[in-house]
Amino acid sequence: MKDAVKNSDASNDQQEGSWDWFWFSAQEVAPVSFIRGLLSLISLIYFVSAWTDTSFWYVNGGPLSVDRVSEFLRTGGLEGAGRWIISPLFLTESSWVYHLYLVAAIATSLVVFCGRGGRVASFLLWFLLVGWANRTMLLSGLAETLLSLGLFAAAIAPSGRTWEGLVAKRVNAAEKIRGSLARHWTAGFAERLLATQITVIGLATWVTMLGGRVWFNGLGAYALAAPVQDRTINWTTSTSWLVRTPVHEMLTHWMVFALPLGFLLAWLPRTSQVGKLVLFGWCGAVALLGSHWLYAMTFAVMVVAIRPLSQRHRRMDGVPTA
Amino acid sequence: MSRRRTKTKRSVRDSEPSDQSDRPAEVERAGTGLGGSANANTEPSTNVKTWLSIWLPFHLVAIGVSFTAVVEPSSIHQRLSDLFHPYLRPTHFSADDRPVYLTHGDSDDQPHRIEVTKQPVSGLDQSELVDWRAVGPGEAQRFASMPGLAVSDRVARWLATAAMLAENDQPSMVADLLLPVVLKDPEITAVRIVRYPTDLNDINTEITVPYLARVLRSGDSVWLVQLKESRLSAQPRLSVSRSFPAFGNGPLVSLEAGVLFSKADRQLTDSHSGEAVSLGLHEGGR
Repeated sequence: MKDAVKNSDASNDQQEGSWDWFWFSAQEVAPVSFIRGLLSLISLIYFVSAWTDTSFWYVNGGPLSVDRVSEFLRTGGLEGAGRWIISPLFLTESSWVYHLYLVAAIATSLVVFCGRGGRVASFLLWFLLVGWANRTMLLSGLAETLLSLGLFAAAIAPSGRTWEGLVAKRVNAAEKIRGSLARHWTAGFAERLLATQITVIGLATWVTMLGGRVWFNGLGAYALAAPVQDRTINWTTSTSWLVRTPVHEMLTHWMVFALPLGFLLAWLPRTSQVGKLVLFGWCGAVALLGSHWLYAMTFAVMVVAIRPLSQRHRRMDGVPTA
Repeated sequence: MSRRRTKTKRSVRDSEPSDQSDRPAEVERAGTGLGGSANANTEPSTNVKTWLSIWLPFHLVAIGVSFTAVVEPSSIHQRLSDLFHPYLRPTHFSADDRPVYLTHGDSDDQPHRIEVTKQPVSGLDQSELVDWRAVGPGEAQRFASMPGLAVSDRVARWLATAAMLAENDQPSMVADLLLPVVLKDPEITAVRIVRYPTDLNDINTEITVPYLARVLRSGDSVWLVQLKESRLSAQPRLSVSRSFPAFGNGPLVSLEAGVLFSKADRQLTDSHSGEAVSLGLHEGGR
């Protein structure tokens, strides 16, 4: 009887298309909760960092106050370009509204981190981040774009506590196979979306890096660290290892190769962990040399979502069929 | 030792029932909402699958196009990127000409600062003789203002944009960005953006001034009059489109930023027009 059920499941699995298996198979909720929790933590840091200079940019005729932005767009003939940059904060210049918005965003980040509020809180956090990033306009960087993509994808999965994934690791494999952990198809979908997005972004980053000669002539790593006045750590002192030609050239070439290689290995079954380590190393280099702290953290967190393709031979309820 | 192990195992087991009782209920609720089928936890309904299968390629292609359009896109690539704007911009999924490539070692990556003075300034050469003071949120002596952290990043993007516009002969747009700083202090007589050299620049490269403007005041009105170095008015035969951060290659691209050619221009220059050339008046009300 058991064999019959097993055979039936295996044939169903074969009939199921690769597309459906990849995107719509049920997965544990805990890993996505972990990723979403880390993203909400990064969002929290981002919103706290915005607190100190809000009054300078947006309020009382600041460089990005509503009047200035309108005039700036009008002067440059950019009214059309600004049409799709939408934020509720364009409606006001009151300092207290901006600070209230930040308070709400910080509170929502904490709520999401604790796994409360369900999908509503997760999407609200995404909405608040998009509203703030769009209001920031030309001052917003890559970290906001990555955070927006990450929070949106993670919000699709059911909510859960950030540390649930860590606790779940302590449960033994047999219990996992019996399906004792919470699973849902939206968790699988969210995880795949996170992983695919960061792969597309990583490869696009690699392609655009190749557009600059510093990534060929061995100076790329040094160029990242060179604007010392804008960097947290100065790597260009005479005693630093980075000023040695073999060091920064090797680091540059490694950074160029690490991106495609890391993603390739991360998606392969046997080398997934190695691939992720390579990508974490790349993020570390970007953070330490270029001081792109939030960007590198967000990138690294999204890399965690990559699940190797070996799990193709798992049934939707988690029982291996191969 | 063995006792401790047993205790740990027991505590894990003890905690499981409560966890399990919480999770499935939550997941079930959520699943019914999105799945729309009886078996919502394991798979979505066919309708949901179909719609998501249409949206996914669109979404991923849009991101790919946007992130690769940051380095001199072709006209087709640019048009495709523009096509996705109504989707990518409201959601802030767009790369919008931000430096996805991290660095290309060009002038945009160099550190910029905004400085003001209360002494009279008549020209570029004479401006070196007066005392300048750095202003802006990045100069505050606070932890958040440390280089490399978020406040410093925002200031860097703001000033790099202003410097790029100044080099593209857009003094009015630069004035829009910088006037608020000048308006705050009625004693400011001039404002400038300075660009610091890095180790990648030639050893003889010093601090450059991509933008210098005198402040003119009359009652409540304030004007910024840009002071430029003397150069020929000849235009290069070739020009390179430089897109504007956060707005893509919109109408502004017709600015035809000649940044890459500016040095060559200067080599051709002959100082025929005197030191202080006033270009671009911009008025700002208090």
